[in-house]
Amino acid sequence: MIKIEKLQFSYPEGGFCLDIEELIVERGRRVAVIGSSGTGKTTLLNLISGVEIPNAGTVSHDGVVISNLSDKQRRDFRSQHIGFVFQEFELLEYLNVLDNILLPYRISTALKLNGTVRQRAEQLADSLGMADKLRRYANQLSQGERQRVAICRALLTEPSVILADEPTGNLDPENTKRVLDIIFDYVSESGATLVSVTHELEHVDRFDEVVDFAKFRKGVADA
Amino acid sequence: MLDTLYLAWRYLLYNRLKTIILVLSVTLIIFLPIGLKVLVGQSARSLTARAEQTPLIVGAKGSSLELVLNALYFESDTPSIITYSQSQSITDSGLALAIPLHTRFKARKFSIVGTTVDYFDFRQCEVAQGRMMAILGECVLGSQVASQLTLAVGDSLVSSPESAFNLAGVYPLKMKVVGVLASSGTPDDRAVFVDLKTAWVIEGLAHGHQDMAKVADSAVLERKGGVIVANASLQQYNEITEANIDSFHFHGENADFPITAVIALPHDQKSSALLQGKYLGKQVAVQIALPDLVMDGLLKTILTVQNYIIAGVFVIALSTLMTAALVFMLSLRLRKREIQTMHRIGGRKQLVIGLLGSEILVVLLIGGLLALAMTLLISQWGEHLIRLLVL
Repeated sequence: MIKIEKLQFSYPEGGFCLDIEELIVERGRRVAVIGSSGTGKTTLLNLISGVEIPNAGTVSHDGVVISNLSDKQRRDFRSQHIGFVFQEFELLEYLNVLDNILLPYRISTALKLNGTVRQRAEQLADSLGMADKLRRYANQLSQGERQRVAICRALLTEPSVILADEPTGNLDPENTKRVLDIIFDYVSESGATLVSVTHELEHVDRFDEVVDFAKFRKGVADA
Repeated sequence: MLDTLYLAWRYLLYNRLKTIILVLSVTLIIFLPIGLKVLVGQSARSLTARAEQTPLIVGAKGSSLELVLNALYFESDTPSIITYSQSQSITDSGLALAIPLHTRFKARKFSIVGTTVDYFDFRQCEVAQGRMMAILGECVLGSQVASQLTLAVGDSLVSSPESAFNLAGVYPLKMKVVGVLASSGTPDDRAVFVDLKTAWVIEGLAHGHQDMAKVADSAVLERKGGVIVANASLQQYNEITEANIDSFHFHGENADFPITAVIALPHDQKSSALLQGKYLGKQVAVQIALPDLVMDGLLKTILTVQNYIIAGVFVIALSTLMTAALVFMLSLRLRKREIQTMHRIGGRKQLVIGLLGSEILVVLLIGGLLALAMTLLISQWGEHLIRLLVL
């Protein structure tokens, strides 16, 4: 369960202020956070994952308060429990598909790369139709394929929380449906929690809960 | 650590052009001063070793460096000639043993060295195949000449004409190979040795031709007493054989014939000083050079040039390193999103430093290894290079 209590956050350089009295996402729930671009939705995902630390209040996962963890513990927590899916895919151009999928295992101290992990990565790529493109580089893939690689990277660690930041924002309708199917299938099968930021309202009916981000946001003048 | 190195390696491989430029810059920065030091060290050893073994060289006035380089290595420009009488006068003085040298001609790029058998004793040359030259027209090859031209005892070698378009110039002489010297790792390996008189035959100072008494009347221009003047149809020999050797004869006195230098081996220090004194006068047309002093002067010049080059390389290295640092800093800015992504998906804190450090390490390592390989190559081929550059 993800629990946010009395959270306040603003960047030192200003811009906007987040003020969340309480937000609870039960384990296995699929939550869509809607709102217009540039309002701080990505910041919310960063706060949930511990990339950012709130100025006040707490973010906890199953009772563990993220801000109480050390920097290393937060990084390890992210690599072990959270799967990130980004709008811009964020694949490394100099790595091929397989190496991009294995990236979390190469950069985290909490994960160990071995033969089993490699096998799982190949199976995952195979299940998402990328088996014959493992040696290709990001610039040799279509948009839909890039997002599927990014999803493979996010799912490889079998995370308990998926944080998706407008995952279909750069995709055509066909690929949008395919990508959402993949994410929802994983969440259904694994019982993971999904928090997805989106401003595409035609797919929000697939989520258990829709949170309007506007109520968490204060302008600088209001803060 | 291995994973960081792997990522760095992938990054460098993907950005090949940038990597190649950086590696080459590092290679040159490391190689230039070290390679130069090795090269200069080798040239110092190579140039001084032979010079120290050669006490005195007598030759025409002019550049003492040119004289010494030619007499020691047979490869620089041929100095002005002196007459054989200079060699005879050294011998006659009783102060030193004189070894005349004639190095004006070449056979297929290798110098033909006309000298006496004393030269081989002095240089401690050993015959590996065959024997020493004994009669006119015979030659003994240095080991490299034999291997590069694939010649052996019994084969023949033709001297190169001075100018293919000069009909009045020196005609080639077909020489018989009678011996091959053992390899000595010295310039003697790259020389064709002939007797001094054979060198004069090549020079055109001696020749052989048909017996004038037996030539057809049509070839005779004039008969006056015992003197017969023939026209150009008279057959001249360009090879000295047992059958025609007796027809070879010199026109003029040996004392007036040319040589390029005389190696003088004084009997003792006093003889050396006396001999040097004989050549001090301004009116004397020849000079006496002390090879080790001349080579020391050359080395000093080389060392000065080396220091200038190293100073220049240091400045270039500094600016290259600063440019490389700038490249890495700019690439850090360009890779901001990549770094943020790694941070968000749980990358360790030291990852960026590790990645950059590994990339720099790999570039330095490859650059260093290339520089090492080039330095080893230089040390292997340095002597060859020195000959190309200095001689």
